[in-house]
Amino acid sequence: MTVLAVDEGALWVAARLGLAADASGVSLDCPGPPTPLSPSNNQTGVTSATQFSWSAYPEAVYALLLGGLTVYAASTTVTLPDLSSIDFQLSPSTPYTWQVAATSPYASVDDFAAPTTAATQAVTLLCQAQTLTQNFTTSATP
Amino acid sequence: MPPEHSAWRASPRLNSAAVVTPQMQAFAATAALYLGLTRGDPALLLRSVATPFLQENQATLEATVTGGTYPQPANDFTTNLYFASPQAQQIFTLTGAIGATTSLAVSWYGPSSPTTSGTLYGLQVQSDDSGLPIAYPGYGATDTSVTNAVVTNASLAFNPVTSAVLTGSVTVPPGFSVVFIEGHSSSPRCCRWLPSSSWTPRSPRRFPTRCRPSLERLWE
Repeated sequence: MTVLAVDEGALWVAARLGLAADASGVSLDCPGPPTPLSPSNNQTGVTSATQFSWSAYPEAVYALLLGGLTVYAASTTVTLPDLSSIDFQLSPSTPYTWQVAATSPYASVDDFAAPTTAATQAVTLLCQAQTLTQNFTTSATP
Repeated sequence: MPPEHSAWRASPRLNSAAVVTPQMQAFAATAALYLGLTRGDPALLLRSVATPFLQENQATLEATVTGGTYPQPANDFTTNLYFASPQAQQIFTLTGAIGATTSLAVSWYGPSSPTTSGTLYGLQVQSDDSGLPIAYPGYGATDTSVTNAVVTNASLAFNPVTSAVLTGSVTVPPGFSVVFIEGHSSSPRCCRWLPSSSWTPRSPRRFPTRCRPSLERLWE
């Protein structure tokens, strides 16, 4: 059973798999999305050293969605790795949007990236919650 | 605001701190990093935007249905067919007057998979004027393999659909509104869940649900 709910741009998904067709007392109750903390919405002067952070979500792995880049992490704080060697870098004085999607229950990124099987999902309440879109603008020398 | 990807460029690279998924090699505006990944058998997520750069296989599946209501009437009937394999997942929604045999174009990506083995599922739905299901004339599934550039015949026997009532509750966070509730059953049959109360929930609110057969089993 899967439920999708929205609040403007924020998403909330709760799923419980492996139910019998005549199951009773099924409960889908997942927390709301994390709260984006840093950079603050519409912040300017963001650089590659700026730390992205958000409030914790129980047993979650997070996806930081930033432009074309998705960073999966188990931590509630992420500083973008130095990706200049692969020519991935923030452009100067450029507006960006970012969101965080929390998915649970996962103990680690390794757990999150494990090959999925029906057996591992059978009795689990899966939760996913994505924040509203946040905005920031990079500095002249990000 | 410029397009989100306009400020990023990428080329392939791998290091010990962050795993960059393969689509960077094919699609210059998209990358994914898995911080802290150590396992050697990860299932990495591939964005669909990268697929135009990958090799496509395409097969034809000639599906012949027995049972159900065929020829399908021009109005109020829909045949939903779904082919699912490790490489291909494709839904075909067939409305209007059709016969019992349908030609399906199945496609998937990857040069290493000229053949893909999976299951063809089918469900015929009869709806009322508002579009809500009122009957399910038949459901069936059959295992089949398809091969690039090859036509494969598949027979799909539709049998009557049973139903059951599933009860439970959904509590959404404050401020959120439910878009849909769908179900999937561990049984061979499948379910769609519809709130039997209002579709415009206050939050939090609990939703009694009713189970109806549909294709959502295929999400598993």
